[in-house]
Amino acid sequence: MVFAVRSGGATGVVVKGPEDKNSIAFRMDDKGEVKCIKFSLGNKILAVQRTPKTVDFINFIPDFPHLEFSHECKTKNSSVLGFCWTSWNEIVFITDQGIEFYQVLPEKRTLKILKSQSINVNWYIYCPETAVLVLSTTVQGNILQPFAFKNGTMSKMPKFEIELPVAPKPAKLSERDIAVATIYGELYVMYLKHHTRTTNSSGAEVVLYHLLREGSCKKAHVLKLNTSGKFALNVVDNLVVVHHQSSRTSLIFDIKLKEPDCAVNIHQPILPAQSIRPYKISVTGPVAASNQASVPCELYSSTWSVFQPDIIISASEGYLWYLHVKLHSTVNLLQDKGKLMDFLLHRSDCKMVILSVCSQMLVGGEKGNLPVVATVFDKLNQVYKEYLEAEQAYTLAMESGPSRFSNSYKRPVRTQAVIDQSDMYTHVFSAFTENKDVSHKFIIAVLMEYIRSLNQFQITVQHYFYELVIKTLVQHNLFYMLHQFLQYHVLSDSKPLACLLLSLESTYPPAHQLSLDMLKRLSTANDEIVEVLLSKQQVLGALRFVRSVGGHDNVSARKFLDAARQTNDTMLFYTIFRFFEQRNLRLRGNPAFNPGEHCEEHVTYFKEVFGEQTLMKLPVV
Amino acid sequence: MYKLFNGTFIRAFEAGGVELLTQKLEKFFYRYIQTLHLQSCDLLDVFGGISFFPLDKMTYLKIQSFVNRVEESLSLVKYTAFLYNDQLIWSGLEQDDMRILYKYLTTSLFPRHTEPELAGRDSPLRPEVTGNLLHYGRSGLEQDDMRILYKYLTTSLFPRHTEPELAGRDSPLRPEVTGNLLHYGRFLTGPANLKDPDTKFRFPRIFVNTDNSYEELHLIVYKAMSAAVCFMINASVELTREFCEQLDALVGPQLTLLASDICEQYNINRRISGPEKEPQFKFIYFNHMNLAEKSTIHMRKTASVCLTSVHPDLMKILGDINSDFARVDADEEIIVKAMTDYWVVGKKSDQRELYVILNQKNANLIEVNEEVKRLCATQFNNIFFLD
Repeated sequence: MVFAVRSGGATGVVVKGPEDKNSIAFRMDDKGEVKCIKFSLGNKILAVQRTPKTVDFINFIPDFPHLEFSHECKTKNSSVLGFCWTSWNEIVFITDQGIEFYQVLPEKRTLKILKSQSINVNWYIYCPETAVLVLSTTVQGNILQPFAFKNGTMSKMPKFEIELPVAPKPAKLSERDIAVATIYGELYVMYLKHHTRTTNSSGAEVVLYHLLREGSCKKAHVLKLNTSGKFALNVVDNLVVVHHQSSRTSLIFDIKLKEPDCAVNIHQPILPAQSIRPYKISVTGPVAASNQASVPCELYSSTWSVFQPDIIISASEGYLWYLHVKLHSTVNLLQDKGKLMDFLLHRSDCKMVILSVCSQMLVGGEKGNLPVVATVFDKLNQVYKEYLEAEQAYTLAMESGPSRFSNSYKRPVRTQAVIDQSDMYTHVFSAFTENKDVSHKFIIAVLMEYIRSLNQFQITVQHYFYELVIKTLVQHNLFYMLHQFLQYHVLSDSKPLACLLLSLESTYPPAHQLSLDMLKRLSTANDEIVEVLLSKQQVLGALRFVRSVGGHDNVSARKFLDAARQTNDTMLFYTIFRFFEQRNLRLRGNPAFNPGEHCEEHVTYFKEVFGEQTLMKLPVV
Repeated sequence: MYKLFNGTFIRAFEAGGVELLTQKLEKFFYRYIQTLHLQSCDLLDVFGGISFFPLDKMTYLKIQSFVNRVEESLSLVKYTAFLYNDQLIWSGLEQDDMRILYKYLTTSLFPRHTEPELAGRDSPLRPEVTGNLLHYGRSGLEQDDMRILYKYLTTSLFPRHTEPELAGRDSPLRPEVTGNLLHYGRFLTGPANLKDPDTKFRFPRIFVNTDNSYEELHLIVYKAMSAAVCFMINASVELTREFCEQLDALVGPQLTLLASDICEQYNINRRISGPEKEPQFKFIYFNHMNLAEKSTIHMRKTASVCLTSVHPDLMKILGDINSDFARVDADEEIIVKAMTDYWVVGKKSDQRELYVILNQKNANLIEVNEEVKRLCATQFNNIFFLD
């Protein structure tokens, strides 16, 4: 939010946010130069600092008097360095001698002190996301004291020291070199350690101190900038972006990616230093703006002010920009596909980019070789599997006792990095397998590689992948290959798959046997087996099968008799007919068929061929 | 077999008339017939089947992945076949060609190469490692380095690995060892020693797909421990030392690792399925559809002798039943009581044949039938067998 204060507010104050609809305009009395002006959360109360000792407040709550009231800091002889809102009505004053935490009571137009702490303060940094305030203390300013605010309470966190370079002269820690940001959900204090000639370091570096709610803060990561000069820091999408003014380029770091040839927590930039404009891993703001205005924006201007996490303000041009990362452009900058995937999988808006990388890797001019393909699939499925497991654990917990776990268990969030089989099928494989320029050998190898990867992570492979494999194999007449895959159960059993195989019988006869085996293994497909056998006129075989699985009391007699008639084998018909007569006798005490069985036609035929006296008689009692 | 190495009769005839054909035939069969030991042939020779190596899906997929990668990086390779322990796992060739090739590999090529290994048949490590420093010349190490490595291997690494070796055939190798160029791969056809400057890079040529595309290929058989891979390359390509070295460097370490994986997996599976309950049933199974054969009667097939655990007379009965089956198309079952209290059961269902030999004194027909049903339920529960 940017405040434009004209004539001390007398001629108007315009407040603009990134979206136009949020802009507010109002007037206030000119009572001197405004040093600092801030709205509380939700634009409820405006705080204005005009003198070194007091802060004035104006209500912006509807139905409340729009009157100013003032509050003086309570410590004697101290001056207010600034203030920060921690909620809609809680504010903390930072003075050179300590901090004072107040609750603003707008209806009474007074402030109530909640807590205070006296400490010598050089300067402060506030992180609104986490409501953490970091104070610089001591002469050198390098002892940092963080405070956390939450629901009217203020808690002191362990203080820590920033290691300053020893030479050339006892330096002071400057406010400009410190930033606070959340990266991957953790709070970090970032320290820009400038290059010093005396030390043998290769350039400036950014040191990240991991700030924990409990326990002491520790030096966690070092980002090597390999250059020196003026820098500014932003954090976008959990990436640390370091702008270098003199070279007009930005470096991107991801603290989750580990360099294999470096010590654990030392990071090199992921991508070569890129300037914002000619390359597209860039701040979109200037580009978009320049398109409209047709005036190229000056990048890396000295009038730029950078705010955390991702804001850049150009004072000379009067723009506020948000920094974004264009993932699509990173794709060509990172040759190592495995590393690229690691990078992309941690980004918030990565799904389509990942899928397009996959497609490109398989088709484009650069035919990624199989080991690379395998690595990429493994990385994707690793994330996919983790999500599935979390989901499963959640479901399990819900089932076992919703009340007990409802608080501790949150439904796992499905991030964009979770790329499931249907994503891969729709966006990558369906087009890939249709591609005529790719050899079928490669297509099959890739599909097998994907199936292997899924299996490796014990993810159940969806039926449509098997279908795709079969389709591809059949198209190229590679039946023996298909046969071997089935033999080793690479293509898992399922009814649809068995049916698909049945349909292949005319072109590849062994498919029949494979299909029957599969149905048998499923053990839930006995009806289908009977149908298959009957269609092959193996009536006796079908009947024996039904009997072996114990279903012969329930099968339809008519179906079998129909099939037996079609074989034109009268002896077979006789046998089948007799079998059912015996069944009738056993079940109902009468060999005759029930009208409901619709066997009249077959009874007539039986009489015609074998004579009426051949019909089974009712046993004589 | 003639066709595999010489192509079809017609081709020879077209190329050089009757003379050439007779020449070729004489040359081939003169030697080939001597290798046949008709007196020890039995039902398995009638089937000419392929024994498949039982394997879990994951390991199988790894092998797939290996084959695909090799075929991709060595684009010359046209077909690949993968065998373990003389049993087939993967064939890129069509079934008919594979059947002949399999026969050649298992009855001729592999036995020839196991002879020198015979002392350590169950541990392919031994001939390569124990005391035989010469082989390490291939790993490109200097003598001094080798001396140290040898000491480490024999005093530390191998002793640590002897235990799993006793259980299975191969000793699982540590990846870091295979990472160091050290592997157990070698050529069974072609160059015996890559480092020998006089080595000839000549491979046997085979003919496949003679019905349609009629391809002539080089046959490279490469083996690491119990895993053997056949690479088939178009015969018009001249195979060079560079190619063989490339293949050796690429395939050797991977195959060594894969072989120990397979062995490990195989042992795990065996442990799960419990101790070998084999003695209970003696049977031969054959599926015409995929040429799969399985026998608990044969101990080991070697070129010359065929060791079976049953009396030759019983084997003859099996042969008789088989010829009965051949006469009729329908599914059937034949139960024979042999002279020596043995029951022999032959079953045919769809394209499958199963022969069981039971030795139960005073068993009657019903009991025998029940027994066979039980066998089917335990051993063949995953295939569709009509009873």
